[in-house]
Amino acid sequence: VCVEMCLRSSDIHEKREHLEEARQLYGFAKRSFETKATEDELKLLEHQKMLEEKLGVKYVGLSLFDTIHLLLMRNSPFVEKLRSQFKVSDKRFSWLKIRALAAGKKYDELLML
Amino acid sequence: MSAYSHLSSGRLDVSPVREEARRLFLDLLDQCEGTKALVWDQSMTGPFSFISDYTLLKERGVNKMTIIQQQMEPADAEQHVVFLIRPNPDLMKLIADCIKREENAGKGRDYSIFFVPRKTLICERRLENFGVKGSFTNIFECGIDIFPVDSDVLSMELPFAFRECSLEGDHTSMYHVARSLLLMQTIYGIIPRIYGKGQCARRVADIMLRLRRDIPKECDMILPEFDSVILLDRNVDLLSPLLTQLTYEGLVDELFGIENGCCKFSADRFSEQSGGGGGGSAKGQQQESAAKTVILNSTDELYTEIRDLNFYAVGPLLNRKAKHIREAFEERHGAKTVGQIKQFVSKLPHIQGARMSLSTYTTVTELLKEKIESSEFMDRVSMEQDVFRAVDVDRVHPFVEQLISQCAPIAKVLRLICAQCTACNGFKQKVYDFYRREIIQTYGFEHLRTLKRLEDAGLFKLHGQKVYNTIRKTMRLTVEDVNEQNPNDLSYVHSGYAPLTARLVQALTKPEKWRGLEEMLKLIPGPTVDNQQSLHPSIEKRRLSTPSGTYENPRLMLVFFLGGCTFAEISALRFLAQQEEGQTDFVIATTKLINGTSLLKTLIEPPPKS
Repeated sequence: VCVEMCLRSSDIHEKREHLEEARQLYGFAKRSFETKATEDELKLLEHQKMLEEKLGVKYVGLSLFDTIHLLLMRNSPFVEKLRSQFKVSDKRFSWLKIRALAAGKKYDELLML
Repeated sequence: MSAYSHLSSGRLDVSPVREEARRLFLDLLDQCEGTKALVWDQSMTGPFSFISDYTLLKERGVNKMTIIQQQMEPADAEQHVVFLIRPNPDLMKLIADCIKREENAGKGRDYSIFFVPRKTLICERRLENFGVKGSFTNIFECGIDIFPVDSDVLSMELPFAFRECSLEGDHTSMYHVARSLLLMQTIYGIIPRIYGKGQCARRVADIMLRLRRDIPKECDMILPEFDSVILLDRNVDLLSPLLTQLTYEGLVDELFGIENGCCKFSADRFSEQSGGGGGGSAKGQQQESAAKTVILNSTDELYTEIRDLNFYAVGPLLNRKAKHIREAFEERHGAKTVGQIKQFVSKLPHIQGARMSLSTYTTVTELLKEKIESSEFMDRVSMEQDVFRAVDVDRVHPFVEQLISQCAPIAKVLRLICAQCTACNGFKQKVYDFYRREIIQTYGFEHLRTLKRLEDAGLFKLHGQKVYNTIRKTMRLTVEDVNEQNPNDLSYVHSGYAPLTARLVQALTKPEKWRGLEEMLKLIPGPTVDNQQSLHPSIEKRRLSTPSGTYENPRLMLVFFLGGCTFAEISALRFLAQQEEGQTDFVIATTKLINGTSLLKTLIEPPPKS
């Protein structure tokens, strides 16, 4: 578990290596939840890196829902992909959408929901 | 001096504790020659305000004070730089950098370092490695363990004690606890009986018995003030601090945060006439920072009266007080003779003071009320009511789900989850995974560490032995139909829930002590402590011949919370002392005054900025 200490590194490549190591260790320790969480984080990191290159905004280090929130605010179609890949429930997604619309002051759309 | 007079107003005069700390500090300071510049560890300024003030330091040649930080320049012309710090290894680099910078610039002077309360090997080693250890004229240990916060409350101001003991296996703080008990025994005599519950309690009791030989011989001849000390590990009762405190003082702490006996409010709500009143705040400061500092301790009569009440009882009381004061003012019309007028004028300052503090606390009450009437607060309290009655605790609670969806501060969310977890003795797999997933997806991957910590501390776990309900029933933790206005049971502090810690103390005030509770005590983690310290025969004889535990001469018990205690717990104990059947008074000591949020913040990764 002490591998998590290394998570603080800011470099993406280093981060990925550490996560990979952590995933393996969790696997050995048969901690399924942690293994899954680390896998998800790895996937999320890939997406975030891609998004950063494409959109030029900082995404790395954000949580899944913060990422979705930001994407919703700029109406990015990429949201659907994240939503399906991380199996976000409908209930949860509606909340995110409402929050994003409210934050973007898009009241017309909010009323249309 | 008068600012500290309340310390000697309680059942036990705690001012000697303050005197001792002051003496230790000033003696060391006097050993440093010349004019001095003090460099404070940020976390030390608050606690030291309990024992000294600026004028006093000025008399001792302190011209300048700064806080430790990067690139600091502690002194201009002062001869001697004194660092006053906790033995925190991270600070060593800052100190070393500062000294090196000064020496390179040819501005070398005398340096001293005071470790509070004790130096550690690792800190000294660090200084050595940075090559600055030789630059110090003095490396002192300033053995101040405990600070008097109020007339019946002492705090060691160690916020991380719980984390260190239950997660990191670092029990240094328990050694400090034992040292502070040693000091208490030198002042107030040997404490004949030691009770306790929990791993840390056992540890402290053992060290305490070992340190007995360090108590000066003449102290054996002091007639003991305390009949017993009870050591309570925070692990014994994790639920109480997680619940919202519903006493006046507790709520001020929950909603605005009490630090070092003071609380800051935004000033615009306080009318001009209340400025400088109440607990005596500085008017100039108020204008500068637009924050009003209210001192919250037993110096103020009115505050002493309302601090321990359930919030719902405060309004009516303030109302009555306002009426009294108006009546007192009206008396002047009734005053006919010169004598009567004279009498009225002599009472005037008192009445005016009372009016001022009334206005201050009424404003505070209004501010609290606004927050309490929000639907979020109501929902939270109603969920807590379900939780401590163990109703529906086995499933995901909709209110928690809602809070997470709204990205509420993580400490608030975790507080409810942990409370729920304690009440149901661990979650079912499905609920457990749901909460974990939601937290990581909402608040970020780094909280995998937070969750692990909570798990290690026993606050968040999978289902285990079902003990909560047994304990709840044996100790009557939950009470139906509480009377918040005129409480008849200490469960009023959480509107229907009595802290287990307070119940354990209550049991000890009765003649049967913990007998009959053995089965229940086994369900609480950690060993039970029951030790005796033998007294000098002549003292023992004298002690037995003076009747104690009677109405005129109540027993005095020291309750030591290891890992922090809440204001609600203190209120519960004060309430207990006022009950007629109790006949026991309490002095409360703790490693730190906490609430659920501040406790959890020490466990959250990364530590959230306050």
